[in-house]
Amino acid sequence: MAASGQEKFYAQNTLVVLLIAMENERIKVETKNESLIQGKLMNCDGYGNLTLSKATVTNSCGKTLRTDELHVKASSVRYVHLPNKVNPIEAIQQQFAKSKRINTPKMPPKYKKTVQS
Amino acid sequence: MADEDDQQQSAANQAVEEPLDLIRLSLDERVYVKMRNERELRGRLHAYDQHLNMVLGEVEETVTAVEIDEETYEEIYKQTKRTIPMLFVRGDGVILVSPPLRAG
Repeated sequence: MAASGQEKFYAQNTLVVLLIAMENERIKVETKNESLIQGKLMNCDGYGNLTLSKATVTNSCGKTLRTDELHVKASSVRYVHLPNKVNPIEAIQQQFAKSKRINTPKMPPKYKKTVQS
Repeated sequence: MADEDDQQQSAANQAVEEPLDLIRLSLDERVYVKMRNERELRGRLHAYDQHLNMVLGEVEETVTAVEIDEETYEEIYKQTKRTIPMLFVRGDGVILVSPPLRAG
């Protein structure tokens, strides 16, 4: 996987990290076209594009479609329902611990300034 | 050293230097989020980022739809509510975030 620098940055600095932590869990995704997608999250990239397996798509009319594999474009996502058992903060911290952080973000200089004064 | 870090951390947690810092003050509180497509969310703010992606717990979503009465042509607002235990919200749909005091 050749992730760009920007993608890695998003993966490490935005809440996308939580979606990445949800890999191999069954999730529900609501899209902006009012569809509900249920499936197992196989992969989530740094932008939040999702790959689901064994997915069921229910559109706004109630029509359903089952597919073995489904890619959801990040920008079409409205909500992701997380499994009940998940503690989001713990999941994020565990994900951070897992991923090798090459560029450890430094505290922004403005905060350092505030502390000194 | 660890103490210094903690102090820096807590000072940084209190500092309000940019608008998003105000949202941090609402972390772990119930907030009101107005969304596009006449959707409103009320829930506990667990996490957010610079895109206003958010993780909300015990969310109540209200969707408002307008129907026109066929005879009187009056606008009828139909509200549908539902609750979701834990929700990731993509930031591009967010219009405003309101702190707990004003979250009715």
